[in-house]
Amino acid sequence: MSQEPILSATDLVTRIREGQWTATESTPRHLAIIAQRNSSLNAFVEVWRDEALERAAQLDRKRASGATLGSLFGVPIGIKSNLCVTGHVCSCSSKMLANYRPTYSATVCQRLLDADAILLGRTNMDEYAMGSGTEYSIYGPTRNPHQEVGPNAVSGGYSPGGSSGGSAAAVAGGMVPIALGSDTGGSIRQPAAFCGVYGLKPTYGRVSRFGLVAYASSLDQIGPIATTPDDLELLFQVIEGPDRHDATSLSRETVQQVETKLRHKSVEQLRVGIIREHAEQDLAPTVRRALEETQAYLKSAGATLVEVSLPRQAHAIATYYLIASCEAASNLSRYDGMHFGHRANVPEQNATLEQVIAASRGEGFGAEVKRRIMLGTYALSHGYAEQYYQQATRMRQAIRLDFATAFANVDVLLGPTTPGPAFPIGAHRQDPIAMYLTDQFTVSANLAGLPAISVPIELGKLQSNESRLPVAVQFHAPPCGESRLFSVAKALHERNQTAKLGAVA
Amino acid sequence: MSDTTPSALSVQTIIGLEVHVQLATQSKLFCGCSTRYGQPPNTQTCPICQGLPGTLPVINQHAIELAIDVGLALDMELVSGCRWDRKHYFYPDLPKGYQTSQYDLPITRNGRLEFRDPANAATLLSVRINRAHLEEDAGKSLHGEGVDGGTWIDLNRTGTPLLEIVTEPDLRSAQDGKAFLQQLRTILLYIGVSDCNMQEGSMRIDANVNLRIDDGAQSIATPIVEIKNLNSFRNVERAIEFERDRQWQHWQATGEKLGQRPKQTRGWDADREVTTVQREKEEAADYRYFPCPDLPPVVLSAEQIAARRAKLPRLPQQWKADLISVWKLSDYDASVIVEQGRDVAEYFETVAQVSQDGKRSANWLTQEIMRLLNEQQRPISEFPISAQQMGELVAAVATNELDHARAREIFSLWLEQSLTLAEAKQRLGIAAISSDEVEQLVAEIVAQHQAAIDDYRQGKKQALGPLIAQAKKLNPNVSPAKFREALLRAVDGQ
Amino acid sequence: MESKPPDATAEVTLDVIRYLERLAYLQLSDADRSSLVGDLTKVLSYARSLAGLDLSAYASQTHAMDQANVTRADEVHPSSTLEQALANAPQVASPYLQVPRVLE
Ligand SMILES: [Zn+2]
Repeated sequence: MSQEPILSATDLVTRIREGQWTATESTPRHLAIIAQRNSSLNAFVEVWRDEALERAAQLDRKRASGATLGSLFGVPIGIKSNLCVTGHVCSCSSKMLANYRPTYSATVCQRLLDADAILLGRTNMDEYAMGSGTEYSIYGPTRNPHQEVGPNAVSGGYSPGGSSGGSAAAVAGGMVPIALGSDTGGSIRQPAAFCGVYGLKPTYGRVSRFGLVAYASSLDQIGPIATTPDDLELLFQVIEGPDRHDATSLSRETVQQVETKLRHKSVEQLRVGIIREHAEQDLAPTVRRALEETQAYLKSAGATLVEVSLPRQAHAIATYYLIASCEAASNLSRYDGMHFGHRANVPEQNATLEQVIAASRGEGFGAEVKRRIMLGTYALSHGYAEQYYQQATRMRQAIRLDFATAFANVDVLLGPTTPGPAFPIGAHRQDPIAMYLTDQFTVSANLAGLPAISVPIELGKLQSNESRLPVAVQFHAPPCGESRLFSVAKALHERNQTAKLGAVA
Repeated sequence: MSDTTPSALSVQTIIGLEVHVQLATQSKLFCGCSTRYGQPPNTQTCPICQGLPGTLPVINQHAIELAIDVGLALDMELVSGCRWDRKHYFYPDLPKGYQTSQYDLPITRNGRLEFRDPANAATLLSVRINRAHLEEDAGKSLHGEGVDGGTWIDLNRTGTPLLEIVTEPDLRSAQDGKAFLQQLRTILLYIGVSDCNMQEGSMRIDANVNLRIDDGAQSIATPIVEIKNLNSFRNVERAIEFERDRQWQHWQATGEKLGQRPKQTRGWDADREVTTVQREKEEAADYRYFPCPDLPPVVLSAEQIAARRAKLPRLPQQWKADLISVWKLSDYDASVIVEQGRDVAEYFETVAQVSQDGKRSANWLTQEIMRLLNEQQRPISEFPISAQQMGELVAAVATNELDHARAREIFSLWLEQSLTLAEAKQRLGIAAISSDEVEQLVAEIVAQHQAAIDDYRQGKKQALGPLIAQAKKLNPNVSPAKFREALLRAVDGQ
Repeated sequence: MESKPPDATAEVTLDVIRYLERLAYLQLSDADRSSLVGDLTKVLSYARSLAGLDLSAYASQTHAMDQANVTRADEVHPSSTLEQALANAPQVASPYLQVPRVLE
């Protein structure tokens, strides 16, 4: 196999469009890399090999015919296992849906096909997107392509984060240049940070959720994962836009109105808010360095740094887990083993319908899913809703207003994506609360509906005792401010290239 | 009431109704599937109404408009910023495990409906309407059909838009309940929001019933029973009567009061004419209502409401007032016509407009046409004579072009054959008579009946009667009125 | 016992777990139940910090964005075929889905 590095999506499209390469030549290369690396990474849970090769041939014929070519022409892409593609299993890594084949495609998947992308297969995830490690999966855990080096390294490998860990690991492992994930409380950004790639959680409503198996409907967004900001933007441009099947998708007019207000700014014109509450948290040394080096770079590039406060950050995790669990308990009511999905085999003679349904759900759902259903059922049940769900929705509004106040004074907010780098696989298995806390910096964007991006940071000269695992920073923008996030990420990407060459101290 | 009621006790039946009305939309509430009734099982569903993972609802605009219409018709408050809530319960005909409904902010609330007291036609009774909210219907379960007694599920009806109209417990008898429902149905049919077809389940009723027993010293309420899914007005009436007697006997036997047992749900067994227990849960149902995150709220603007008001079809009360003031009908005739429904009222209005004779139009409609329709159990839409034709016929009578007997001959012929008025007249040999012909006939009669003419001239006014009959015999096409006019001119003028 | 709704301020006990289990139609093992007592207690200890705050100044935010009136026209679109409609049913008696008998 050729040792030539895998091309970015942007470069691949250019080469194929210009005729330097064909989809039939490039696709098998990606399939070969998957074949080679997936047994250790477990990033893909299903590869649609024959279909991908057939489609590659079809695309080459399309190009030969002189037809207009889509913006992802010939680009292989990985799809998180909670996105529906007609006829393919969409399991959400759950026993409940292990054999479930949707009869329709998600809007985003249809848009990828319309843009001439090649769907290579589906990627691993935490069951129903509930988890931060891609460990709660019927397919077993995914491994982070990155390893710690030195005496601290663990032998079992590191978590890619979650819940979109399969997509992040597939991109970081060079299997595909781009992949789709979904982000309810950090499920794109946290794995992107752990795997050293870029991940975007778009503004709520910019990407249609139609065909995304719901976890928490008012928080879920589909978003791109990529190795470069250009690819991230390219994929985002394909999937975003209004959809008549999703009443919460934002209209073109709304997006344009807001975008017009957010005038484009180059990095030197930016006012960057440093989130005091995030910086004050207990951060791993390399994460703190990433923050400091990012600030130093932005300052040197001419940006203005301002400390800002989000006073209700301490309540974000509780607010998030209450709202997400309530919505999850509701959304997961449809899995009753009656219409689709797993039905338990209860000896019919004595079984009531209630018993069959309860047994189907008991067998079909894993421990973390059950935990959240129980929490959500508790918080919504009669007599509790006022204390828990209602309070959480009020706190959500308070948090949203905190962001609005901050954005009155700054263009973007800077903070860490995660408190530390990737943890060893299984580290949090006994302590779900510790797992929840890895989301402490990411959940606010979902609560407030804001776009947020995780940008990997190459650290300058590492000491021998410092962690070699990837680290990242996170930027938040006002609603529909994705273009600001892309321009900051592009500047930092250039800085990273320099850092890799050792030019940054 | 049962004959065991001691005279010292006063017993009232307290009734509140929940009426589920299927709205007349083409497509379902949240997806594009057709709402057509009677299609093969499971052929009118899509991933959305099948509740497949990943699907999302989008509200049908027309369902909102129809709900606004009901709010306007029942004098209700329209709630701007109404919300969608999920009501959770598990049942195999509910594929999502929750019903999307409206909980604390329904689209419309606080209305009132007046109807004629069935015990005294001169009195109007009034019922307060608590609320009317939009929700989706569930599918259909066919119990015990499968092997092992399994249940079959047909999801065609799943997601059909319903408006649930909830009254306050203001009704006091089964007959009042029935009269209220008839008036409600008439209104809903007039504004065209539903076909209210009870056989097809387009109108289904739950009745909440209990008794208030007053012995002079204190007032006691019996536990409330909800009778579910009543599908005819007769069943509503019978079920409430049964429940009233059953609760009375139960109270006498046990003395059980409201609050001493949870609300019971009962069903009506129409064959045995009894209610039977369906469910009595120890805990109050905990539906875990919460706002549906997939559906943004609906904010009704004043303009939108004004636009619907402008388009709102005339309500039955307004129709009746118009029939009385414009066409000079009696209160009774106007009521009879309006209660037949909008199609009949519209038919009447066309006949009256064409003929310009309201009273005659009403007589033809109520005495001839409705008698036939009742006999044949057919709606007026299937009546073979169009309102326009009927108007021409009535006009011909009104202008003395035809007498009533000849008009009835044409009417009978029209029931058999589709003909114009002229064709029908020709077929029956009814020719228009010129004034010359009338004059000629007068001359003939005067010549033959000089004695009668003399009697008339001497003051015996009735002497001319037989002459008119004689003329009609000579020429059946002659209009008696026209002949009489010409005859008088002839004899008085001499 | 297990059918009574638990007191809102009470500890999370096995009875609370059993009540929720019935409400959610979710069959749990004894091991699940005992670990859930601990897990819910921990999570709710975070959540109770919210319960004590005065947030009456803030409107309840149940949606991410302030949207309203997103509706569709009343148009009929093609439905699934019968085959598609039954494709994922665990048990079928065409043209119906079949479910276990409902005991009243
Ligand atoms: Zn449908």
